[in-house]
Amino acid sequence: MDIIKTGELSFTYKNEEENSLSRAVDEVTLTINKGEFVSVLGRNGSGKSTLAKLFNALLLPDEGFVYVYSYDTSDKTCLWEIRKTVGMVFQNPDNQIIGTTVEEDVAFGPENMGMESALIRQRVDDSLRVVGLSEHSKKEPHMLSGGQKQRTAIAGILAIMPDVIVLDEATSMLDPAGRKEIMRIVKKLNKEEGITIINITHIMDETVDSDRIVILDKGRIKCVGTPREVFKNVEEIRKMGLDVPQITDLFYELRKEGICVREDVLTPEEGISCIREMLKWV
Amino acid sequence: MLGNITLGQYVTGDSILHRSDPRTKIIATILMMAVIFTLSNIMSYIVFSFLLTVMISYSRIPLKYTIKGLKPILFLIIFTVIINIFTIKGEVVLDIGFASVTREGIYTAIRLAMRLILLVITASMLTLTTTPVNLTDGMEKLMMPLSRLGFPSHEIALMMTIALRFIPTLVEETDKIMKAQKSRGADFESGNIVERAKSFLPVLVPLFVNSFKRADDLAIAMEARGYKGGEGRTKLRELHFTRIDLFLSTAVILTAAAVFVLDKTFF
Amino acid sequence: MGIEVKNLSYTYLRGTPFERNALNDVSLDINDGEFTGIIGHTGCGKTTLIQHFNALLKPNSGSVLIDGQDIADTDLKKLRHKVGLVFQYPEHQLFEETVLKDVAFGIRKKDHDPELVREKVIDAVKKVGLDEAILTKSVFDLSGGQKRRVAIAGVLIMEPSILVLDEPAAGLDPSGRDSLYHILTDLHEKSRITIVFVSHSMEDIALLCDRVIVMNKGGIYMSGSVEEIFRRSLELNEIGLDVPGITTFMKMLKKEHPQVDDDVYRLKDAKREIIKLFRGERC
Repeated sequence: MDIIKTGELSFTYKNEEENSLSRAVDEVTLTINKGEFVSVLGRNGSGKSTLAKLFNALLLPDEGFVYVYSYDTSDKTCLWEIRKTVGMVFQNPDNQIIGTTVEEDVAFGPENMGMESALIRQRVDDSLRVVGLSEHSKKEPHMLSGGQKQRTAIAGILAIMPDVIVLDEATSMLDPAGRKEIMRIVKKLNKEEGITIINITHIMDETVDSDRIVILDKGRIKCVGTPREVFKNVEEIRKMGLDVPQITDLFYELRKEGICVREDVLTPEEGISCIREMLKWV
Repeated sequence: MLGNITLGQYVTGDSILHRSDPRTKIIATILMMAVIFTLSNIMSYIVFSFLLTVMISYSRIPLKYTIKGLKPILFLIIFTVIINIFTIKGEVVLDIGFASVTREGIYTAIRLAMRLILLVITASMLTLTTTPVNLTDGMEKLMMPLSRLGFPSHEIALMMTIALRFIPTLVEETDKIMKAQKSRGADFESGNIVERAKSFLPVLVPLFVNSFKRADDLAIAMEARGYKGGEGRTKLRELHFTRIDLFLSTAVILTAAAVFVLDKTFF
Repeated sequence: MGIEVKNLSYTYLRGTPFERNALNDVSLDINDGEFTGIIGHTGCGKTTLIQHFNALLKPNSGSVLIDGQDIADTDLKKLRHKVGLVFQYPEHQLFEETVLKDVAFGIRKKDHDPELVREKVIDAVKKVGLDEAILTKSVFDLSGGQKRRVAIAGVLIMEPSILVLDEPAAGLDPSGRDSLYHILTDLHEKSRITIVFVSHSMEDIALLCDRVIVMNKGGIYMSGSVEEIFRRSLELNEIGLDVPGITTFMKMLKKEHPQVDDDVYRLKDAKREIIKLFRGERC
């Protein structure tokens, strides 16, 4: 089932000073299926953050369309339904926490929806449990680590019970431990709760497990496919200012030297079995 | 570095004061402070102090916290005492040559000093037993009738909450920026007042710029979570009046009235 | 002489109920001209340590000597010219109206000749790969990557002999990170400046550094050359750190083919070893 569908989607930031118009998103046609884990990869300035904001009507299309289920994002009457369906976690952990304590912040979304107090309490407790922050519910934001802050943000989104969670570079300001925390929770949400995840990032390591990868460059889709399909194109990915997994890179270099190895090695284990195979032929 | 210091002066507890509705406490505090201003006789202040001590014991908050609240105004108290002792005209009690101490001066000084002390301790009772978020919730509810007249009570309460939330973050950020500028040779300590004020520009400008960005990001995050203003918003924690509030408000009203009457008639 | 740290201890908020011991009896030496990496988890004390190098913090006990001089006795202005410290997300400290003014902030007290200042700014700005044309722009009109470079130029202009960088690539995308690292290696090669590079990434440290200091819970866990440290992968695993992916792969390979050298942490070396393996098997 299609949960988010865009067609020839374009968006331009109006730059008043220079009067120049640069297409941040350029004719993007993309369909996201319910339950998928999609990673959107792209360098800084590729338009990926802009695309994210078009998914939940924070920005509206200049050309083309965005549908969330059957809601058109440019239809004002659907706005709040869309925002209930598509939740978003932003890059800066501090700049999205409003509450004076963890539980106050997680309650923000349900409070906006006018839920009654007892139900809000339940949603807050459930969400905090899922992200593992139940013991920290009364803590103030400045006492939290980066990873805990982002978990609070995720809990705040979960409390609205959306069908899609968009991570807009949500790990880029975290240390490796924090990043692992977030990716673990997000993968769990996808596998166990069936929540569709759209992970906007430039950190290639996070994308290796996704169902699909979409690579954006200069606002256009350059590549779509499974991680295996996408990471084969090492040269093109490099040209777009991105990384491939170190192992993939190594095997690409080996191929250049004439050693006949597989194109789509993504993990060290695959690398080892590939070498084992190849040595049989030598 | 501020990682473990909590915001505000709130001290955790389970006393009657802790459990009462913030609205009751806010109104009680205002009432008590108003009464303090009307008292003219030193005996009245002493009686009031006694009653306040009873309240402190009900709050089960260790005395040291209440005393701590006086530290910031200690200088003010001493200053007030000295000024009044030496400048009020009247029956001279002590002559030191260039200045003289009068009886009226002493009485006035004691009165004013006690007034200051009682005001601060009364206010402290509020902040020691009420969390910042409870305070803003209470104030928001109290201001609500005004919103029918167009007064933005929800927006103001939200602004107060956000400000409270970000004070520790801003303190950390200021620290970081100061360190970064010091590493480039900035000097915040030497020079006269003007020079020192100027030296803060490399700290203030980035702070402000970051704050604008922050406000922008926050607004977007709030919208993404369905914020559409105060209409129809509910709260995680609802405020309810209970028997405790009845008890507290009755106690405060009666005792405040009693002291007031005593002051005007007997003392 | 470089940096000498002797039995350094530091506790935050000493004497309060919130006190926290950040560094515990730390001793280390960083020699002139070395490119040293410091790695460890958040909270291991690395940020506290580097803030001693330019006397933003002073030791509770022990001593820190820069070029033989104790930081407790040195003129702070001179010290902060000698040791340039670039914090994480340095672009957050930019404040002046133009790039020229902001980069010149560090030397505005020393040099008063505007021509000389301008020359030095251009020099610093070029070192970070930016063009002279950027001097007239407002610092707030730049892209994230440009802002970061301007911030670094603002430190380089003081011509430090020791450059300390706390996660300089934090938040940068791969191409941004790559160009920044080129700038650092260029700088190191051309001027033999001592560089202290704090990072969370083993791969980045493997790429850039000669020596590594591994910190844990306020102390030095291990220190040595990159090769020495990466041989001890089990000990690294114990504190939750890991060797670069390439090294892990080579260790797995060695289990099946003992002739492979697993003392490898760079891609080109791994490639060389595997080619040897294939060609070897052929014979």
